[in-house]
Amino acid sequence: MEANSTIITSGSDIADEVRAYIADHFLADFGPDLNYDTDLFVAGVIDSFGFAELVVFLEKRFNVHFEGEELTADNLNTVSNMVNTIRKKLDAS
Amino acid sequence: MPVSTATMCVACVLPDSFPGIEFDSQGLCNFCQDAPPVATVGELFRALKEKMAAAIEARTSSGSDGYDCIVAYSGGKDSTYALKVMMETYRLNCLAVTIDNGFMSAQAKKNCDTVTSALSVDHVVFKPSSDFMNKMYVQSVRSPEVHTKAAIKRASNVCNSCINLINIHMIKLALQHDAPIVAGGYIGGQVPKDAAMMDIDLSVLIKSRQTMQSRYTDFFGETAMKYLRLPENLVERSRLKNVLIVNPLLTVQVSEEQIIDDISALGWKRTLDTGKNSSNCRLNDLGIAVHHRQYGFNPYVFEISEQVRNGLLDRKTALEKAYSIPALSEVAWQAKQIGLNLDEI
Repeated sequence: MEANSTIITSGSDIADEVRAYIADHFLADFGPDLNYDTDLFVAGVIDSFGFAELVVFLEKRFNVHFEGEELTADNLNTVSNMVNTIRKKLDAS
Repeated sequence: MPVSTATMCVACVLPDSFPGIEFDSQGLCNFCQDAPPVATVGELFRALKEKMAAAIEARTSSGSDGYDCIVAYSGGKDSTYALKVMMETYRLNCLAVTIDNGFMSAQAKKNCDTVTSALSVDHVVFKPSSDFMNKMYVQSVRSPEVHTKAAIKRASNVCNSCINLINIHMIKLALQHDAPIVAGGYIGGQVPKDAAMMDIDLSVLIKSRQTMQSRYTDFFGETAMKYLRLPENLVERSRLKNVLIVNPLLTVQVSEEQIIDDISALGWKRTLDTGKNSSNCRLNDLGIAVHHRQYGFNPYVFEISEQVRNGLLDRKTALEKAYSIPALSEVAWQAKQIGLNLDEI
């Protein structure tokens, strides 16, 4: 898998990039009603298509691969959960 | 009705009203700046095709007697080509499924019969109640928040609702038949670029749809659950844990002309009553007219721009398709049929 060359140094780097992607691609306005712990499905930010798109972005950008059982909404439904999941995979690699 | 083409990308025709668009000093949009060079597109398509072929092989190697693939088949040119590819290139045992949304062109219905006969493929038609469909269409116009904000980039709200219903129906059939694959006729720009294949975990799908379900019920009424809910017991009874969604047109670099040539050999004929951006649906122009009024761009413009970027559509034709917006007066009959007052728009 082709990796992006920027080195990820911290969870806040991951969070910033994920937030920026979601804001740009899903036209989401982060603020009081939408934060890193907001369930993006519940908030109506992403749908099934959007989730597939998001997974592709996360895998390419952070050079990780999610196995089927990892693609659960509980792992990837909030920015915080995405950061934690990605961080664990990067630390394990 | 011609629309001003004054402010748009110098390459791909996307207008400045498209969400997230930015232009450089030469007038080239950020989507074009980020796109791979046209010369490499062929290789990208080939790589996607190989990946899809491997995924299909992995899902169908067990030699089951049942259907391998449920194909969402509208009778339009793209889904006809997709059906042809799944049958002839991948040699799958397919079930072609047509959802009659109440506005299918008579020619599209004939195309369904002709093509499924030519391909010797099993075919079913499902026609949801027009009472529900019309209510869904009207509410989709009145309450665009029923869909995610980003959905406006890929289709009109009318189309998004219909597509939703079609997608869920296909997955339900896949579960009923234990068919591991669902195929659609989406092209570049209608779905995410990398969505030639999407391996959908059914537990994730159920979770995401639970959220949407309450929204659908709020806007479309309780009857919506009959059409838009993925029953958990269906998932539990099926042997499938995942469904592989494939869009074969995202893996082949073929122009519209080539597609029409290929499917004409099966007896497919052009429709004359579905507007410039559909080859099956007579409601489509209403969706375009309303979408343009609400958001300032043709809902097909991203798909059209992607075809230009991939070298599959010339700019002149792209401009014609993207910027010929039906006037509200031209879609008055569709509005009347579904019970929409155009003065609301």
